[in-house]
Amino acid sequence: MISKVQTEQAVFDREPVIPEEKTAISIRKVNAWYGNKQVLFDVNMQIKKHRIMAFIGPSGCGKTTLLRCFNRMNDTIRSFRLEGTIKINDTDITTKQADPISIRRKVGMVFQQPNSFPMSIHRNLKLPITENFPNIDKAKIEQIIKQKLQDANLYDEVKDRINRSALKISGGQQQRLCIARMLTIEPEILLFDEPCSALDPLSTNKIEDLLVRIKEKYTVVIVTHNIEQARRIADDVAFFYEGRIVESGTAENIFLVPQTELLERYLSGKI
Amino acid sequence: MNKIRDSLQQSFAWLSALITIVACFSIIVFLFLKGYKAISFEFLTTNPNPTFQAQEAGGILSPMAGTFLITIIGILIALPWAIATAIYLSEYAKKNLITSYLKIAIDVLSGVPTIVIAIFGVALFTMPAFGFLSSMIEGIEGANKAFGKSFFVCSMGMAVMVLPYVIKTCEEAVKAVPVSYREASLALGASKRSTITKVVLPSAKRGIITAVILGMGRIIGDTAIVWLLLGGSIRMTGPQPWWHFANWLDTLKNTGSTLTTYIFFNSPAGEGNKAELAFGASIVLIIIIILLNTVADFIGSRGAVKEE
Repeated sequence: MISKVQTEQAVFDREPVIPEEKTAISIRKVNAWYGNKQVLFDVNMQIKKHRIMAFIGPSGCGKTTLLRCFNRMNDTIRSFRLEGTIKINDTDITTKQADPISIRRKVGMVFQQPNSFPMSIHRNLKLPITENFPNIDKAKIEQIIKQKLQDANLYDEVKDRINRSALKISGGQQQRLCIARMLTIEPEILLFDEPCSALDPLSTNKIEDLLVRIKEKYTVVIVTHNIEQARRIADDVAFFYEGRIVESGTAENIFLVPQTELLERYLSGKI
Repeated sequence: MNKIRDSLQQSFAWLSALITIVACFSIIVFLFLKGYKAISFEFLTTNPNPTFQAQEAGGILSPMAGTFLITIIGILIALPWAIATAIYLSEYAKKNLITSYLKIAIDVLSGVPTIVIAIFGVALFTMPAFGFLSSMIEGIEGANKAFGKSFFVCSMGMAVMVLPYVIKTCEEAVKAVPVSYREASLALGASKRSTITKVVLPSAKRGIITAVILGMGRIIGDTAIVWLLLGGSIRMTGPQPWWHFANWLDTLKNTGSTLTTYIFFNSPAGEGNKAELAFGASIVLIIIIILLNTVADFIGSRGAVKEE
């Protein structure tokens, strides 16, 4: 146990210090619990702007828990408790004073299962716009809806049925609708919790292309079970195991020269 | 041996189902045979007369209107109340003593016989403070009491009666909205309040409509509350014509009958001698309830298909 912690520390020491202005999310000494069960242990990490950071690791290792800390989604779980600091734009978002609503407007999230509302495609996109920009005029709403559907590579596929139920389009299209919906509130950071796990390869491809394209404008953090996916799109990778970050660094380093036996075994499919 | 037991069990289940169906159909067929002669255009469009002469007895226009009035007003009172309670129970209530008392209270209320709700209504609404809902008793010396019977008062009694059923159905509808919708909405920076009003309630729409229809069915079928809180008059007792818009407030503050009390007034088992009219009104009542149930089933099944 002790030796594992030491290796972990050693790995961190190798990482170059990133200047503040290039950091989107800065995580220090984060520990988290569900009730009495600790699920994150001393997590430290810098997530860089305009890059894709992928969290990889076996199931139940804390990737999603950490991701859901970034937009305070864990607030909905009563037994959840967190210690440590998570800074976005130099403000600690974990404190009681931090307003979860304004955090979530800066940090958008797409979930594992497409969760478009049981309403028309148009209404799905209009709801968050009117919610976040109360006095916006109609023409502007339509313009944003069109723009964001185009950004999500969905506009051409749905422009003729924009007033039909969002539940009638395919799972992949729904997931891109959820991405468009998230973009309508103009977030800075985009969180993806295994966005492709319920999708076929073709839809997965489309979403991966989309992620690579939009990282110019946003910072992307993605949780994935799919090592190949991380290899294809990630700039940086963090490898989680049992609530700890075992190794993190650029995608090249992680995939080509893993430093720990755990990561090596994970990459070769043994754990 | 097992085979015999199996087939015995199967035929027993089959027989039980058959008895239910036969009971249901024989009631309907019996009513039709007894009452179809009473039903005519005139029967449906004229007001009833309190008389022993069958030729002058008139029809069921105002009882139908009475049923309609207490159903609509009753559900309009019960629904906002029920939705608010359902939202509290499913979205805000913590697991503590108060919540469990609230749940027990709802269960108890659903078990209270309607005649008890009615008698409580009589005690409450005859208090002079509630005179504005019916009328004050005049002409009796020393009596400072409200009349305590009117369409308003009756609708309130009905609202209390259906409240537990409507709350439970609404609560189930709200709880059936997937967590993922709530998470999606919260993650988009919506407050909890807008999440509930703009995402959860619209998604629970079908369940809420079902709750409304079930509640309406119960109000339409109830007799005890009408008997005590609407009173013993077969006609509309407000100024005539009762349907005139200048009189609507007075009509609601006065009494009348509904289909259920109309049946009672005309049936020899109640206080009348015109069985055929009572059966005719029963047919109309049953048809209204069957229609409502069909609509509820239709909405329920469409909702199920959509969630798949």
